[in-house]
Amino acid sequence: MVLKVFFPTCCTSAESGLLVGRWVPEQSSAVVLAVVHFPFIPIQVKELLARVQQAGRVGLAVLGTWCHCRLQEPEEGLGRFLEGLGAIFTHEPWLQLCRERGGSVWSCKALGWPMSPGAPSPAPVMLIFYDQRHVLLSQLHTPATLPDPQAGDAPPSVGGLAAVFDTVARSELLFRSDRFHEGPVQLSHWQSEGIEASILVELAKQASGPTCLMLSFLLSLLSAVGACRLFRLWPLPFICSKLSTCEQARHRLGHLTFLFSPRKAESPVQLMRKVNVFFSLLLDVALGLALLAWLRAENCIGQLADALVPVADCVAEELQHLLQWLMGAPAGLKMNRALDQVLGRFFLYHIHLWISYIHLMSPFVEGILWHVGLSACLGLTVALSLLSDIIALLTFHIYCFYVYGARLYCLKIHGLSSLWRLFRGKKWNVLRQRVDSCSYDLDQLFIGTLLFTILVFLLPTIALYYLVFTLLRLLVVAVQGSLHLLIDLINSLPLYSVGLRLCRPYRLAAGVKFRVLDHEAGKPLRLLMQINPLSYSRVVCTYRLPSCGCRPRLSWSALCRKLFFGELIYPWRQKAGKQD
Amino acid sequence: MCDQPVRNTNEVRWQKVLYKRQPFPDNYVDQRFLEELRKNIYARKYQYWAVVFESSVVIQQLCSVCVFVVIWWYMDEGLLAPLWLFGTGLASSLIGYILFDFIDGGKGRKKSGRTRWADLKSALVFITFTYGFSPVLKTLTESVSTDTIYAMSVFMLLGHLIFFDYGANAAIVSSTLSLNMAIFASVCLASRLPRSLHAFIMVTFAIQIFALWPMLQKKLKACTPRSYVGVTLLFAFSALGGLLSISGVGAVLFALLLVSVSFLCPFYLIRLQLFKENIHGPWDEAEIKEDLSRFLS
Amino acid sequence: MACRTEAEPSRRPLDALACTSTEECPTAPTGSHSVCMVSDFFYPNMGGVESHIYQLSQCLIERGHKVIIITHAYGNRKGVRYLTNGLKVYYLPLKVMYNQSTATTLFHSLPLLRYIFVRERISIIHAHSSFSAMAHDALFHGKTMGLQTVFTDHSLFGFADVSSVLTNKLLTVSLCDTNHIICVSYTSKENTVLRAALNPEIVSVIPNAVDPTDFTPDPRQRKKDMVTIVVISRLVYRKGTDLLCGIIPELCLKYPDLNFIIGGEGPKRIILEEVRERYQLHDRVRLLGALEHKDVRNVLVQGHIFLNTSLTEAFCMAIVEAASCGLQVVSTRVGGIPEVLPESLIILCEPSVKSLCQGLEKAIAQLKSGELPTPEKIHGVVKTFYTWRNVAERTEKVYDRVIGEAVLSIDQRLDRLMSHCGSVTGCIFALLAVFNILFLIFLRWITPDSLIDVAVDASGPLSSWPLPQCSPRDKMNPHSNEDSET
Repeated sequence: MVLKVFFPTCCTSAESGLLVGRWVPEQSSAVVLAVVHFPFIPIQVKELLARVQQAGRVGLAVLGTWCHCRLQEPEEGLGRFLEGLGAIFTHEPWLQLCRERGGSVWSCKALGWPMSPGAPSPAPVMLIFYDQRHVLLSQLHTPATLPDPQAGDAPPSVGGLAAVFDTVARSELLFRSDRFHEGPVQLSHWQSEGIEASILVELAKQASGPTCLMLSFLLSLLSAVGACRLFRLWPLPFICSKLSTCEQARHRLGHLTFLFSPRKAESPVQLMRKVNVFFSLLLDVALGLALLAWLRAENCIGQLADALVPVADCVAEELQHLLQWLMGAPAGLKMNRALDQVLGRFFLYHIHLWISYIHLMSPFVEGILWHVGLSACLGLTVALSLLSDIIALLTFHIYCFYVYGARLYCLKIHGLSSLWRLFRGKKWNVLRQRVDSCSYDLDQLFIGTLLFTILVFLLPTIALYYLVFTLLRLLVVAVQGSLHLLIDLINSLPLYSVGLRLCRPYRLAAGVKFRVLDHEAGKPLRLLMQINPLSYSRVVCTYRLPSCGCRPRLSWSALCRKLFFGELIYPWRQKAGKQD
Repeated sequence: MCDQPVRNTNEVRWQKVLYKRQPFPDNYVDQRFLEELRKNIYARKYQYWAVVFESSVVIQQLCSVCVFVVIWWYMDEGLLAPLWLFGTGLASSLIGYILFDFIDGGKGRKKSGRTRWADLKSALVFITFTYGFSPVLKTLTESVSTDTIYAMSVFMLLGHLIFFDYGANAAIVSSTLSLNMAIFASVCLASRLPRSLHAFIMVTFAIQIFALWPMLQKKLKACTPRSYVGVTLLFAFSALGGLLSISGVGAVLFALLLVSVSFLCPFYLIRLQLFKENIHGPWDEAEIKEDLSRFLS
Repeated sequence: MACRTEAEPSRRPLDALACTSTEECPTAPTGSHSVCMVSDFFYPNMGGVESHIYQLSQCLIERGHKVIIITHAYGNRKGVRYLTNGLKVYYLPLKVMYNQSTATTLFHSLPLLRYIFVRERISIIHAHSSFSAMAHDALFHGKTMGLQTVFTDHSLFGFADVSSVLTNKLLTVSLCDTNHIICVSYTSKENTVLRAALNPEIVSVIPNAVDPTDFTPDPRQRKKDMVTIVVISRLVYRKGTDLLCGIIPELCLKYPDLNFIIGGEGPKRIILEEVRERYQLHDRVRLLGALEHKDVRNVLVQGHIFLNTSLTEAFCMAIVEAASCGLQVVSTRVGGIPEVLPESLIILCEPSVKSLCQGLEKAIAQLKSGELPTPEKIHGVVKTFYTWRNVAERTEKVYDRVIGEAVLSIDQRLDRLMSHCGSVTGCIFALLAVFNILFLIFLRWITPDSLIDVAVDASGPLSSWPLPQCSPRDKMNPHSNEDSET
């Protein structure tokens, strides 16, 4: 098996010394993390390694020696000395990595490899350079499907890659010491440059603890108030479950509690989620404030309030016209006149009620709208949900019509289907879930057929009313649905992750690719490992925040079926609440 | 296999078995090939007059439909007082009811276990529902054009004739469907009549002629075939007479139809029997002749 | 044992390697045929036709012929697969219409089938089962392309009802210019000859076979103090499930030590359950539901008597399998059943509850008095009756005969269609045949035969398949093969 040596690019110019890293026997690869410079005291090196090992729970060891020969500097003595080190730090295999003649020639020997004694010649060694900073900061997303075999020349399996990433991430302690650090052991590895900024980060970290504690206390107080018995009385939970504003507010409350919970994020995914939630909240509130500012500046609320009542009036009037058209002979359809009149008058009376209700409400509309506008400072999503609720309330008469029509139609369809079975001399067998033949009595047949005839001739009338009101209802549902889509978009977009992908593509790794640096016969193959960033679609998929409103669970065919059989169609949120 | 000479069959006789290796080629054709073939073993011999007698069921049904349509026409034209029709119908129903029990001496009633109280209840249900719904029936088809109604009725009455249980054992027969189609047609036609009382009486009459009359007929046919022939003739002539009073051409056509159904069709049936060639053999799917329902019910 | 390739796209380089132009390709030696079996019914579907095709193909390959199988795609099993010994199976992407039979327009399958026939250098098309639309399509196209055609009929049909009149007409059309027809029993031959109005000389009788090594007796599995009757069939009307419903209560009341084991599934299962419930026979009548083919033997050996209540049957493999397991067989005397087993091994009854009960009582009496031969003895007799090698040998003779015959030219074929199938049907199908020929000419113009790659043979004399290493026992067992493949 080929021996793979992962070597950080930042160490290529380091002074000669010892290679510190981890040996992964399953992949037969050595991950070099740092180079220890001369001079050092072996005991101290071992102590340092033990410390790091304890902190990161990763098996570090001295893997071999590193020899960097400067231009025409024959260092015979050094080479022999390095060989001798193998006796102090025992490791199998013992690597001897050498960079000669100004860095153009690399050589690598592995003593004690292959492990099996019978193997003839030393196994080939592959040198893979990696950017330590990128690997340290990036997070590997193991692909759900098998990787494409053409991705790299010699791809280590996903598990192997994960081991490399894991090793580097866990030995973070090793990289704490910086260049100016005067310690007993001199190391060469990647070093962070922004020391000054990190002070700010430290300060923020210090401050965040008490802030979180205080906020979470406030939030728990709030939710305790929400959970108190007064709000558990019958109509309130029901109404709350139907109002999207309440749902949205609850959702946001959940976000805040999650964000300010004093517990530390356990995994990078959770941390990412927290940051995403934070940014989504920030964006939401910013958009809401912008909306509020715009509304105040242009005096939109007043205009809106003035327009609202006439619009509602106008809608009601249009509905009246529609009903009058239906009560005539719409499109030359053969409707039953008596039933048509009855239904039409009933609906007209309903509209009349509605108009008087609107007029009763009209003096208070502006005040209500003003308060709604205020709610925008809680976030754009809350304002939008409120808007959706207002639309639902304003079109309540359409909803009522729809429900009446649907119930009537449903009854009719079910009656017709069972009477049609009777007409053919069949019946539905409930126990066996199938249609059986059955011999009916004469009077049963007679009454059944009589009712069947009547229902058949009344069907067009009721179906037409149902159709018209269903179309209206679907229009309202579509408007509400698009509002909810917008809300869901703001709620669930992982803003931070997308931004990260945009500015620091290496932070989210989907895998790696290898570039051949140099391939000479007799010398180790040198590869450069580069990070493959995650695709945007996968970023969104992985870090999507759970949205509060469910997507429509109904497929199109199921929707059509329901429409045909006159079952009630609810907008999405109510549906989700029902299923929960 | 063909080049193998067929050996003398006197020595080795060919056997119709598969498990033996026989010294014959696989495509060997023995003299006994197709010896189990039978023809027309289930063919029946028909007597002309018996077939004519049986055809009277069809005649009866055709006449029922004709009488119903004629009566409806009279009602629609206002030539027939609804109450008179109601009275006649009621009277004939009562006579029929008594006759129904009288013919077989109440044996059928005992067998079915149906009480007179149940009969009365059924009659009450008919009357109440029909009377209650008759105003609805009146306005039911107002907006539908008359031609549609006629087409629908014709379609339904034809369906009634097609699906009627004439005593044949076929999959298409469904007495329920047949009766329902007749009722549907009568409701459609009744809704065109001028008043709701007309509609009520028309539907009642439909029940009498489509539901009750065939029951009585069946019993008549089984118990007193002679009187049944007489009743059929009488019924046919009255239907013809009724039709004649409306349209002469229609009456002639209807008479031709009756004659061809009752005399020509049986004649053809018997003639065509001569050409029957039905092949039977061991490959036929065996029929289960026993009644297996006793194990299940 | 079995290997599979991912089908069409991957075969091109292989073909190109094998022979770059047609003249380089060596021709097959005389005496060996390139046979293409076509049927809608093949594994993973299970049944008599399926195993017949598989076993026959294996034995023909063993005898040095090249065999490929064409069927339609089953679920995600599509493309080309190789089964044991290089038996190549094409699963074609054709729409299934009803009962695993493909829908046919008579033309849509021509491009695919022609391509396969050309690239596999097929000389004989062997279609199976009259229920398979694809088989008839292949016959039709094969004749258009001038190939020899053979057809095996596995089923019986009546003449009485409308549907059989129609199907018989279609069969007449399909078989009137087919070179040779194979039937599985003499009754089936008589039936086919009558249905398709054929010359009986071109109809051969070659029975089905049973692998006797799969069905060995094991008397230790039987219950000593009980008499067990085994029934294994699909529970449908044609298999006489209604009769079974009458037999079970009758005999169970009479013999308290009688048990029934019923294997199989079908729409009539519900009436069996009703009978079991009504007579409280839950402990004595076991309904096993659908059985896999490999489990059949283990069920059979538990019984003493095998009961077959079929109302129609061309050959009936089930009774041979049961007899091979050493059971006394009681069966209805319908179809080809009387030809299958000698009188000593079978009790034949009329298809009625009474007669079948008498037959079963006779069998029980014989069993109790110890008159019946031992299972081993029965097995010893039965195992010589039907073997697949014998079937293959006889089928090979049919191929030898067919290959020597001249294929009808177009005008002869049209003549034959018009004279043989009645004026109206004949003319219609003659017209369709002309269309088919035009379509073929069009296809040949689009992709000439010379442009079609010739496939590497996986079986036959020029096979590139590694020589069979497995024992014949292994080869004869398709079921383990299927399992390992799926």
